[in-house]
Formats: sequence, structure tokens, C-alpha cells
Amino acid sequence: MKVVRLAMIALALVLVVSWLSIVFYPSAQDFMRTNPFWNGLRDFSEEFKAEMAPSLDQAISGRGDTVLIAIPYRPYSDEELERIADFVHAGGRLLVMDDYGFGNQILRALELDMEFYGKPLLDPYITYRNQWLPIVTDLAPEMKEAGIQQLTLNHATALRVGGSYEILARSSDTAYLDVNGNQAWDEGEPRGSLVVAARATVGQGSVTIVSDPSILINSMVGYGDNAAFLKKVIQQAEETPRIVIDTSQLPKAPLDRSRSAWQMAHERMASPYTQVLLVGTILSLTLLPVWRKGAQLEQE
Amino acid sequence: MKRRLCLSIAAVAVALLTSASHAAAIEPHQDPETAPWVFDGVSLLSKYSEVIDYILAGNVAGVESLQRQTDQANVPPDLRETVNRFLSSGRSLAQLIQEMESDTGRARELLEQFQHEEARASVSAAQEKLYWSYDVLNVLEREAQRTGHWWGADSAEKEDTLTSAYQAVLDRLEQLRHLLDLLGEMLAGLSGQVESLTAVHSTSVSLWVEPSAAFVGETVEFGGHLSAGDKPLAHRQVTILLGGFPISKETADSKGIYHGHMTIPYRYVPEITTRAIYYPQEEDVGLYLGSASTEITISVLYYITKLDLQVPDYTFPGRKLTLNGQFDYGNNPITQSRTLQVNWDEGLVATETVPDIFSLEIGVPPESRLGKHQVAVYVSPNGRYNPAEASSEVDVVKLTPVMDLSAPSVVLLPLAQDIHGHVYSSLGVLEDASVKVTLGDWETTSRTRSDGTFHSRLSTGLNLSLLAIQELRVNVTPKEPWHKATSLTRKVIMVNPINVTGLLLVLAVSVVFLAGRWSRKAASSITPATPRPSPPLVQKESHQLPPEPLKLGEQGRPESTLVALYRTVLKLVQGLTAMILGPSYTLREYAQACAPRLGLLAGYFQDLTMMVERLLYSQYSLSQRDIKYGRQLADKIEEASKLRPGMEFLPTAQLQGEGRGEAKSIELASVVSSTSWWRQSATWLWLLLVVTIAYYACVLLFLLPLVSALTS
Repeated sequence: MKVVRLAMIALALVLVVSWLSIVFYPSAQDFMRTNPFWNGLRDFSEEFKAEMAPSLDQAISGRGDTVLIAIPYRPYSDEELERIADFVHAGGRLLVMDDYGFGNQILRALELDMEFYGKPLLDPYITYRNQWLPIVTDLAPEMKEAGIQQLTLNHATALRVGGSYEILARSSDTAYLDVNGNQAWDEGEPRGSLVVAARATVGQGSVTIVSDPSILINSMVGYGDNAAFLKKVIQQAEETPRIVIDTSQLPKAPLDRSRSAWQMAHERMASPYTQVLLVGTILSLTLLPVWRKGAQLEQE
Repeated sequence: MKRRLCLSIAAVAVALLTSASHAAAIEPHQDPETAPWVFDGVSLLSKYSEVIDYILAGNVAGVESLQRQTDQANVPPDLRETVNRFLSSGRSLAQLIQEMESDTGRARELLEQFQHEEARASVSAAQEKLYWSYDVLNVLEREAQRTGHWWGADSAEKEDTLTSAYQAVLDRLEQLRHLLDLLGEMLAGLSGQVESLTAVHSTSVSLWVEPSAAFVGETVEFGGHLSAGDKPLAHRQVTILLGGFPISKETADSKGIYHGHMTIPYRYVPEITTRAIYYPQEEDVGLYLGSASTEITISVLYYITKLDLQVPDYTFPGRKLTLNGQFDYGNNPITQSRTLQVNWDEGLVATETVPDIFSLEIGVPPESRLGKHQVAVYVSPNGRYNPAEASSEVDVVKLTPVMDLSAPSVVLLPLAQDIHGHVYSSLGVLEDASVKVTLGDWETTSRTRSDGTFHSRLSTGLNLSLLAIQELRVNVTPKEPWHKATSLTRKVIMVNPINVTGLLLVLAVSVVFLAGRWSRKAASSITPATPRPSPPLVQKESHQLPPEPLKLGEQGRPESTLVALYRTVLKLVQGLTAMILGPSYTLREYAQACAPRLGLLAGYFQDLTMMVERLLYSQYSLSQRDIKYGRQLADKIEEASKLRPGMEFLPTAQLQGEGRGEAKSIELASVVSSTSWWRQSATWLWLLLVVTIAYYACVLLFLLPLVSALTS
């Protein structure tokens, strides 16, 4: 019995510590709102008052002036792509930020003649520290008029733009796409002024495509004019829209999945029916020994 | 066991290794603060080559753009100064080469016109710039070598991309030196040509213009004299330049005098220069030098046009934008009309002829993005009236429509709901707009009519809810590009009467079941206990006396006390057992008959009965100890009787003040039992039941009507 009791106490301790970790320990996963480290989104979320939606439905429901930020590191289902297309056609604004993920799915669903190359954009000359952090200074006139002079990217890719869309930013002439992954330019690899940001009108809404989601992270949002660029792209005509990031397609660490599950459970427990059920269950469990003892006495 | 453990460890290790091999995807980013510094010598040296290419082409702007680009370049800190010096020297050299080429070209032109003094000046200037160019080239070579040395490109044993890039820079520098050498040779040749002209006769030409100020399009008269020394040069041609361009050739007469007329061009500049040039032709070549008159400035007159343009601060895509404007000519006469060209973001959208005060409408493209746009108006020149232009920014915004909604505040499932609405804005109603109504998992779509109204019928169904507050959302997507999509939400109460009825039935059944169970428990709680065997009665000798009614002894005596106690207890027992002591019973028989119903009290009652029988049917004398014992027995029976249910046979007076409901312990055969009300499970079940019924009753009777009253 002593062993069983010890095991129960140990299990209880493990559960309590786990729960405390889930609730309070900050995430270290990429693009997580609670992540205060270099690869999190805490600074962007606070500055832009961005919401994190665990599902696409939650992201696109709500106010009409919603700006949806999609970082598709995992594929969307056909149904979800259809909902995204409907959202944009109905007047919503979409910001697709992708480098090596599944952004091309969204572009195809919106019938745009554009695609992410999906290969690293490297610039050995106009760059910060090393060629994986290229600096972009070739910006559209409306960006320069807004005081945006340069962007600093971090493990970006480039866009192939087929139709007549609005080009917002291009890389320098020393940049290239490292198709074969040898981190050196080879004959045949695209080189020069490659598109890294563009915008298109779709139905009543608009889509802005940026070939690097890393400009959102804590360590990058303050570099160059990244924050001003994001503000320019997200906020049009001095309005303050509702900004939502769809986190359903972001990779999550076990801690983040547990935290999401806890939050969902917490929301469910907040409903009155669940509370009544919980109260009833707790009362029943508490009084069960008393009930059994009373019955035992009555039998005696 | 050990073998199994080893196999498990091996399997885990294999799984880890294989899973690690799948993590070959590109990293999404790196920490910029801890990212390694990696400099690329090949790209830097390639930029050096690019600079030299621009220098060779005399392209100063190209070098300047590379200079600006290098501000953001990833250059080693040790090399930053070297790179900056290389680029600034490159810019200087490009400028010098450009100027030298201009000077040599001008010198050639002047030599062709036999203007040897001017040609000499140009050649001298070019030669001076050439000397500077060699100095700057030395600086370029030094900085290039320093850069190559830093990268180790000058001492590398085998050829790679770095040494190739460095060699390309050195080759280009060699070409640059060769270019300067060529320029030097050319300048030497030109200088020789200039010197060879000094032996030829000089000439002079004069020019006058009348009037010295004229309107554009007007004609002015000019004239002058051509001579060689003191002698007039007759029948020679004199070229007249206006604004640097030849406009006419006049022939001098026998006295060397020439004159003519020129028209002031429609170039709306404050002044224009003119001069006359003579250069020898045919037989005069080699005999006379060319000459030019002094430059004469003619004041150009025209009417200044100013345009005052008013553009609204904002407009809507797909709508008309009204531009109001007024021409200001100052004190000059007002012209009847002018031609305007209107540009929207550098794209021509309208060309109109307008009076001096005008109002012009242009269409804003429906696909215009939201935000600032540039509207520019250009006015073409008209005779003496110069051109003008004005521009302004206009903000393109979308209008948020207003929606009036009529929807129920309470929804009964699974009935369909009618939702009516009207959508409009200051620009008019929204016609044929898409309307989507959503309530939970149900939705329906419709379109607005020509008057902006809509009617949607939302079909619902059954679900597991009982009573819930849901959000009814109406999304309107307009057809007009100047309207924004809009939405309206409203809280509605969804009532599922079928589930509510089902729940009430379940509760009712529970109540009935519990009540039945409780009553069975109450009945079974009065269980006959095993009667204690009564001690044998004290028998009178030889005969059995019939039972005699109790006699009350004298008061105060022990016998009367015991009898009084027995009477009291008898009443209690009769109340408890519902059995009356009839004449057919002896006291002992009555005690035995009551025993099953008295349970554990039976023993006490039998003891007391035996004491009374002893008193009545024997000569036994009671002691105070007996009385005390009898009182204890009576007390115990009395106490126990207060806690037993089924007190209906007891007189009320006896129950008052007896502390009914207080928890008391009774020692019964050494078993302690606590039966207080708050510890009974039935109490809590009743409480839960009452709370649940009260909750739903409050909701249905109070909350629903209140919400309906508030929302209606």
C-alpha cells in the first residue's frame, strides 16, 4: 500500500508540474504568440494587436474588416482553400507569407498567375551578416513615399509573377535562387532582381504575397523598415483592421499542442452546462463515501 | 530479460536515427544576432569590375548607383574604408573621362569652324583633366590591390573564382590606363592642329538684334558686319545661332554687311541667346580663321499661366471624381479656353478643353487600391500662354454601408426563421448584394432587391442543446466597388423545446423514483431487532397469579415511582409499536410481543417490565438502586424514542422541547451511529433536484421574457 500511495503522490506531482508548465512556461516554437525568444511572434502580436486563431473558421469569422495572415507550413484542405477564396472574394484581405511551405496552394485556389519558388533566395553582397539575410532596397514608389527604404529578409524565397500584378519589392541584382542547395550561384539558377513581395486584387478583396514569413518574428520585425512595411501592407487608408494569424497550419511543439488543448478545454468548461455537470460530479464523488458509510450503517 | 532490454534500446536508437535523417528540410530562419558573419570576396571584386566598366563608358550615374548600393553591402569592417575610397575615386575618374570626351569633342567642332583660340582652350582643359585622371587611376589601382591582398587573391597558388575575379579587376584597370593613354594621344593631335592654324588670317563678325525683347512667335530683326582685319569680307555666309542651334545663313554684301529676321520660338523661357558665326568655306579654307560674334541675350515675353486645382480629399473606386480649377493669368488677358490632360497615377485618363474656370469629372478606376493616389493636370501651351501643371493627392476609400436588421430574438428549433433587412449608404442602396445569414451551423444566402431590402429564410434543425445564446451573423458583400463588405451580429436565444421536454421528463421520473425509494427506506428502517432474551421472571411459589392491573402505590414510595416510570414508558412503546396493552396480555407477554418492533429497545423494555412484574407479583422490595436502574431504563427508552421516525402516535406535548433534530448519539450494543440530516445522501439529491428545476424555471419564466422585452 505504501508503494501505491507513493506512486499516486508522484503521479499527482507530475500532473501538477505538467499543468503548470503547460499554462505558464513560454513556448520556444517558431511563430508562437507566447514565444518571447528570437523566433516568436510576441512583439508583432503586441504591436499590431494581432489575434491568434487556432482554426481557419475562427480566423475568418468575426468583423468584416479582417486581415488574415496565413503562414502555410502545412497544407490546407480543399474545403479550407475554398473558404479562403470565398473570404477574399467577399472583401477580406489576405496576407500570404511563405518561403518553403504550401503557399502555392493558396495562390492556385485564388487563380493567381504567381507562385513561390520554394528555393532559398541568397544574396552574397547586399545582405546582413551572411547571404541568408538579404537586404531589399528596390521597393515600389508607394513604399518609398511612406518612408520605407529597405527590408531585411531571413531565409526567404522569391516569387514568379506571371500576370500584371503590383510589385512591391524586389531583391538586389546580386541575389540568386539556390536551386541545387550548394549555397553558390550556378549557371541556370535565376539571378538578379527577383520579386519578393506583390499584391493582387481578387474579387472585392485583395491578396498581398510576401516570400518570407520570418519578417514577423521578434528578432526581425525591428530590422530595417520591416515593421513599417508590414504596417503599410496590413493597414490601408489609416484604418485599424482586425488582424488575425491562422496558426492552424503552423508546426507546433508538444507543449504548444498541450496548451491549445488546455485552452479549448478551458473554454468548454466555461459553459454553464459543463459547470453544472462538473459541480454535480464533484458533489457526487465527495459524498459517495458518506453515502456508502450511511448505507453500511443502515444495514447494520 | 536482458536480451529484450538490449533489443528495445537498439530499436529506439534506430528509430531516432531514422527520424533524424528525415529532418533535411530548409531551416525557416536563423537568429540574426548570433548569425555568423560571412563575407564574399568574389561578389565584392565583381562589383569593382562593374565600377570600372561604368568608368570606361563614362557613366557617372552608374558608378553613383553602385556607390549607394554598397552602403548596404556586407563588407568586412577592415575593408570598408578601402571600398569607399575605390568607389569615390571611380566616380571622380568617370566624371573626368566624361568631361574630357566633351572637351575633345568641342575642340574638334571649333577646329572645324577654325576657331583656334576656343579650340586651344578646350584642348588645354582636357589635358589638365587627363593629368588628374592618371592620379585618380593610381588610387584605384592601389585600393584594388589592397582589396585583393586582404582576400588573399594576389597570393593564391591555384586559380579559383576569387583569383579570377581579382584578375578581372586588374585587367580592367589595365584597359582604363590604356584608355587614358589614347585620350592623351588624341589631345596631342588636337593640340598640333590648333597650332597649325595660327598662320592663317583672323576674321571678326558682329551682331545686333532689334528689339531686344519680344513675345514668343514674334519676329525680330538682326544684322552685323564681317571683316578680316580692316577689310570687309564680302559675299561670305554667316550662320546665325539661336539658343545654340543654327536657324539661318545670311550672306554679307560687298561691304561685308548682313541682316535678316528671326522668329522667337515657342520656348517659354525668360531669355534666349543668339550669336553669329563665320567659318571659312571652299577657297577661304587655309586662308581665313573662323570667328564668332559676342552672344546677345533676347528677353522672351509670354503670358504666365497659373493653375489652381481643387481635388476632394477622398473618393471611391468606380465613382466620379470632380476636379475644380481656375486659371490665373495675373494682369494678362484671359484666353477663352485651354486644353487639359488629366493623369491618374501617371496614366492619362482624360483630355478636355476647358474655360478659365472649370469643373471636370473623371472616373476613378473600379480596381483602384485603397490609399493615396496622385491626380495630375497638365495644361498645354497656347500661343503666348505658357503651359502649366498642378497635382494633388486623393485618398481612395470604400464606404461602409448601414444595415437595418429585423430578426427574431428567440429561435425555437427546428422552426425556420425569417430575417429581413435593408442595406444602404450615403451613395445609395446596395442592389443585388450577396447576403449570407449564419446561425451556428446553419446558414442561408440571398440577394438584395433593387431597393436594397432583403428577406432570408433560415432553416434550422435539431441538435443536442437545450437553451443557448448564439450569434446570428448577417454578412453583406456588395456588388458596387465603392462599398465595403459589412456584417452585423445579434445575440439570439436558441431554445430546443424537444430536449427541454425530454429533460423535464427525466427529472420527473427521477423525482418519482427517488420518492418511492425514500418511502421504502422509511418503512424498512423500522426493522424488528433480535429480541433479547428476557431474564426469567421471579415466580411466586406453586401458582401463577393472573395478571392484575397496575396498582399505584403511595406517592413518594419507590414502588410508585417505578410504576409511574413504567406508565410513561408504556405510552411511548404503544406509540412506537402501535400495539395496545390489552387485557389478554400479561406485562411480560406484551413486552415480548413488542420486542420485534422495538428492535434494540426491546431489551430495556423487558428489563423494566420484569422489575414491575416483580414488584406487582412478589414480595420483593425495591431498593433505591432498583429505582435508579429503572429510571435509567426509562430514560434510555425515552431518548431512543425521540430519534425514531413514525412519531405520529406520540402526543405533541411530549415532543416539544425535546430537541428534535439535534444530533445525539445513542449507545446501542457498543455501535455509534451519526444520522444527522446534512449527512444523508437523499438530502443532497433533493437539493440538486430542486436547484436544477429552479434554474430552468428561472430561465424559462424570467430570462426569456426579459430578453424578449429588451430586444424587441
